Amino acid sequence: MEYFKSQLDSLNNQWTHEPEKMMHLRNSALEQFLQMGLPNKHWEDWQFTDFSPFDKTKFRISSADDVKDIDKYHTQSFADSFSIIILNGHYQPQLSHVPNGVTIRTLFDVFIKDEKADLSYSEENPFIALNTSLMNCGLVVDVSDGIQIDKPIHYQFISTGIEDNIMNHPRLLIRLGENSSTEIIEHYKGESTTLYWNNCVTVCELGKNGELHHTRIQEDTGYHTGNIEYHLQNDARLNTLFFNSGTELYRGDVNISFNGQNASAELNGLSLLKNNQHMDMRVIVDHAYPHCTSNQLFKYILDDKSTGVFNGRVIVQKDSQKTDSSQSNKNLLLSKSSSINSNPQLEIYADDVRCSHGSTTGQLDEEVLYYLRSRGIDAVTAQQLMVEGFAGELLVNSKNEKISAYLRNKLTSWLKSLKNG
Amino acid sequence: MLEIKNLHVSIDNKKILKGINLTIISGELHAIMGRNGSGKSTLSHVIAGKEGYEIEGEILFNGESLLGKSPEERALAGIFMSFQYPVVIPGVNNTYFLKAALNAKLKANGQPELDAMDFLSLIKEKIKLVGMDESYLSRNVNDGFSGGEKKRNEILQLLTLEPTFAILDETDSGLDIDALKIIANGVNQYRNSERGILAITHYQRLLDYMKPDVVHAMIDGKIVKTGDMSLAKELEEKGYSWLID
Repeated sequence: MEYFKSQLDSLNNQWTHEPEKMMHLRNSALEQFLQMGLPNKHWEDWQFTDFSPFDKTKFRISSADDVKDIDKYHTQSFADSFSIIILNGHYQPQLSHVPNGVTIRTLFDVFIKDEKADLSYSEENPFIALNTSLMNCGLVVDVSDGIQIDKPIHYQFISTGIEDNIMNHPRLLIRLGENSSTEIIEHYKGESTTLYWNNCVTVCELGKNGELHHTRIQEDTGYHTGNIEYHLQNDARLNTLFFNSGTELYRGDVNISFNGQNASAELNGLSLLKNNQHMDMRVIVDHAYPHCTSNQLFKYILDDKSTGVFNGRVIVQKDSQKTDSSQSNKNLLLSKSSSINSNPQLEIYADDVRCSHGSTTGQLDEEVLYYLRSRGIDAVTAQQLMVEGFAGELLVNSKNEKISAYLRNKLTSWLKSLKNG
Repeated sequence: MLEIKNLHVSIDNKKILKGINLTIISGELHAIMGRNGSGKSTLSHVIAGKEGYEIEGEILFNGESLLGKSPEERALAGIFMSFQYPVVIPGVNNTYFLKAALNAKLKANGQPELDAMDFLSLIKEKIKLVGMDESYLSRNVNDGFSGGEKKRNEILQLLTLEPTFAILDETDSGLDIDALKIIANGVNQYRNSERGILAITHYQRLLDYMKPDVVHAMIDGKIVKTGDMSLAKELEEKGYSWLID
């Protein structure tokens, strides 16, 4: 754990222009992190994941030297989209463009002006504390009130051409004004064979009657810890998709808090695992206000010796009457040695609510496989059809057909990469 | 075209078929009638290639042994089975499924595959023949279909894939008389001098519309009597007990 301390020293030496209070925030967050330590099997909500790899490899925080030969990086954005590009932890304003009504600033700029920005960390999640201490790529995206953006904003966090074990602690604040709507694709990519680690914090604040479509595509190949928070004001509408594929070790924490009435959140997730990959996701939905709706559908597809964890908790507070909430976790095991630990939970303290939750885990149906094969479709293609059928409903939700098509292609090529076909 | 010689089949050491001999030549429609548990459906699945059976004897299709071939190899060789209980395929669109099946066949025959547009115009013609609404094409395979709709969907596949040999496994069960006529009509459209059909049924009424060339009575894993349409009528009237001993 000592290496984190030396990394903070190195960051402080690099960024000598930071104000005193920023350094103070970093130091106290590190202290909090060190006090907590990495989660171990005695931590109830973390027990199914081995976090010791984060200490075994001594990651180095990325520096300006890690961005070379920008031209050779593949920064292709989705067609008809605005873009925000970050290369190896460094924001590239010259490659980024956003529409009128949207501003991007670095956290440093916001901080130095003494503006309010959510940089809090809790005593509950050490990775958020660590991110607060070491954040090296902070961006604040503000969407003004009453702005409707019809093209998506494609935020790309690209890790590539890395020779050392580097780590990044990006912090992204998305603040959507009242009566505004936008679509944001938060996209982590990477193809380096050297192990790297992205420890991300994303906070989305939805103003009154704001609408956010948020697709978080995690396909970087190193370790990934992602912490995502949503705060919804009155009448806000959130629609998300978490697509996870490619990482060796993933932990995702999603927190939704309703800060007003009549807000709704649709939360969807698709995680693809193979080899020895491990993905652990925890989703907490806090219904602190009445008349809000939340629907969750998280699916995992696991092959080889991969392991998954889904931990979901919906809390309906005492005065949150007329809450309407559903939570579903469905998993497909493609091999006998893959496994998943699923634990959906409901805590209800109000009496006039409608809540459901459930979890199913199964294998491909042999009868269906036989039926498809009896129509001349070979076994491998038949399995692909069935898996695509299982995942399909999650990939039609997106507001944007191009993104759906991108994700369907990702699923198909993932299926083709599997050893059994 | 189909030749079954001394076929014995067991599941988990339980004997189901006990020496079946059956020869069907091109252009013929054979019916096998029998009570529940007589082994009719097992025979269908063994021809179609379902796994999990212990098999002795021979099944030849156009002179080549089918045993040891996968279900898809048999399908591509020209065999089709209309399922007694067609399965629901969650998330897989009916058109997409039918196109994948037809293109697998075209590819195996070295013919060009159909693109989405060409396939759609083909399937819209075929679906009229089974009296189904076009909306069934965009639904998931058999998802929410009634019993009769599932059977029509099987016949739609038969008419689209145009195999050389069709097994109809209790395609008439659970159908009302109108649906039965539509199914029989679809089968008669399919029928020609190049193709063989094996229809498995409990009842004579489907056969009234399809006019089989040969009727077999099956009891306890054996074909005990073979005749023409008059045998079907006799079985309908007298049941099967008179055939035992």
